[in-house]
Amino acid sequence: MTTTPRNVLPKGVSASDFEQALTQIRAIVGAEYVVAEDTALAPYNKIMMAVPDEQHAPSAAVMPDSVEQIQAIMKVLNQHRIPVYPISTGKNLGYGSAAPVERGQLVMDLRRMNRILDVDAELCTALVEPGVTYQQLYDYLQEKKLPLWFSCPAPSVIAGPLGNMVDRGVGYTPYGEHFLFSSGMEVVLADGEVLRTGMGSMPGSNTWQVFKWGYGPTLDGIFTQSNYGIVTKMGMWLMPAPPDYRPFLIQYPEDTDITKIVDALRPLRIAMVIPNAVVIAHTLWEAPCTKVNRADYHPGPGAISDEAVQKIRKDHNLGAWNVYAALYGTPETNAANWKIIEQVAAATGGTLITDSTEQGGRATQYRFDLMKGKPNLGEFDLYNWRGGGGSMWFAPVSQAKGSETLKQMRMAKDILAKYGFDYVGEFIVGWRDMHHVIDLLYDRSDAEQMKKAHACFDELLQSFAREGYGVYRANTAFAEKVAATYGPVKRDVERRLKRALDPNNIIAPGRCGISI
Amino acid sequence: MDRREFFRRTGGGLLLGAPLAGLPATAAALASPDGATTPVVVVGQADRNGALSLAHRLAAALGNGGRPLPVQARDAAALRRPDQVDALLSLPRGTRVLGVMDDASAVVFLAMAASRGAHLLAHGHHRLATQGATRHACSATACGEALAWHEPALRPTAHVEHFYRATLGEAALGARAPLPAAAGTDEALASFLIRL
Repeated sequence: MTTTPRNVLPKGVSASDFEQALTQIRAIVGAEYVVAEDTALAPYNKIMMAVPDEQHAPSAAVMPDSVEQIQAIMKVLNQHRIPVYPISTGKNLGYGSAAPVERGQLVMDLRRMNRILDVDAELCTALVEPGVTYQQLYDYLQEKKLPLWFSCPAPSVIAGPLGNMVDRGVGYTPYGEHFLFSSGMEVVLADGEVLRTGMGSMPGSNTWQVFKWGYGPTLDGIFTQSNYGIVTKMGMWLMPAPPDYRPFLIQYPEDTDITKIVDALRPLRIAMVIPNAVVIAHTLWEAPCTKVNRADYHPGPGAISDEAVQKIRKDHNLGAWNVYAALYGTPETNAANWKIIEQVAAATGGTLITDSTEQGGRATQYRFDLMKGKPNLGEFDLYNWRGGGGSMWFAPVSQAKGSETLKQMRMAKDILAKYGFDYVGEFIVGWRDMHHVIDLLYDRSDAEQMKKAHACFDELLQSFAREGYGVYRANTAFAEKVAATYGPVKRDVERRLKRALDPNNIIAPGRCGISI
Repeated sequence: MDRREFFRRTGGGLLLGAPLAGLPATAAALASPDGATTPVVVVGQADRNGALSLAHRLAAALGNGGRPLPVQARDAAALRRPDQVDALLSLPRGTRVLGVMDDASAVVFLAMAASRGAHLLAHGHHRLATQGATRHACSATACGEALAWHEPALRPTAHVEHFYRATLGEAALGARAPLPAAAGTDEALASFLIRL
């Protein structure tokens, strides 16, 4: 066993204490499931944060296989006051990946806990562990020939439902607001106690996955985007595969069309004529996924010009805005609703496309697949747009009103251009809100661009906050700054909860800005 | 190991601030933790000329007895399919996999490899140009600090090969002339070396 002096340690923990703790943890999980050498830890390093690796370097990683092992580990960590950073699959790339929020935290990698514990085909529910990936669940449903769908995010092949739900991620089917369609969690608390939320607290209950509220305060929410416990099981609702699925794309030619698009589609979303989240993707979100080479249009430094973007639209038959949504129902209900879609497209000057191979090519196909919960990796082509593969998602929330869209787009575009970055954005229309997801793409092998990307994200965050726009999720590197935009009272309550549930401050201190 | 020590042990030609061209062709070997001979599999992205060209260059540099290693060529679609990536990763423990592909495919490949417990030994980014200078930025985990350099687009040096051989802990490049870069390539690529 190596005796090389460790160069990354948890804050306030001596090397000898840390070694002693690792020895105890090895006895719990087995030596092969505790890694501390540099090359084994390197995959846990940050990738999509525009800061030096050292800031988020883990001290070690442990891979427990059961709730009992986690409970035992928590005792050791409390004894030595070692902070731990739990991850499920660790693949929320643009929001920070697997890297701990603070240097030296011990990564608790739950990938070995990858069991699909239950799928009830009649009630359309599932109970999964943290290491289960969407692809794994998809394969399971296919293998069992169960006509059930789920909602998944864009990196779904490698990401998992539990981690995504805990981070309050979203997807593209009618069940796309993932936390809303969860039902029941199992959580290991900092002191090793195991809490089952909702009906799961009641011995002998068989309603854990069907009724999420239980009795008294509903606790599930405090275990999302937080550090109050380690979620080890999660119930989720599955959607019966509809008899008829009609995905569509509506393309619009002008940037300014976004206002009428949102105002026309909002009523259809609220009334659930369109039951899934409507994605309105800008040209430059579509272009990389349609194999457009940025250098062909903008070989030099700085942000791409409006003229170049217009040429891309023309050359590759892309809209300024590309609206993706779908109808889910019977052939009869979809036929009736389809007439409404046709009328809306015609009235707003959009071009309606239904064949994924006809116009949009790959970008259309991966979108159509995502809207029926079929995992894929089509959106990863975004990482090729700029070269160097850096990406941070900036995702402010707004009302689903057209007047909000152009304002946000112009704000973002101006700030991005100031630092030499392109506006690569999409609006996702929820029931009454919109997530404006902006992918800040930069070259992570270029130190200068890294600095600019960090400064640009910071300015986006502060500028949008001044206008009252908060982000719904954030890159780990900006957790503290994002939390600060939500004001002091909320943060004080979060700290009080932290003191009550984790007095030694050992579960991911700093995650979402929460620490004692 | 810091950057200075890493490159001192690969031949001593590269010290902080010194040009990479100073790397000698007969550098000493960096001790490999499990012996001098390590199985290496090279994966190149078939639908990227620059990636395939660099993969072949590296395969030639890492080959034994003048014979280049075979290159597993896969197109981007295959490199995004979990079953196909799994097949590439289903090799004996200890095998090194050296990949050259676009940034998106590299992120996916490394994410899948990480889920199987692979170690990341080194990674690089390469911005190839048809004219002017081609830029390389490579980082060895053992060294920690990225190393970046430019070289003429039409006269590639063997520094990338040298870097990966050094990371593998093998003798640095001999006198063999480097293979030429892909003609007419203007693209950004990623490379990596992992140990399964």
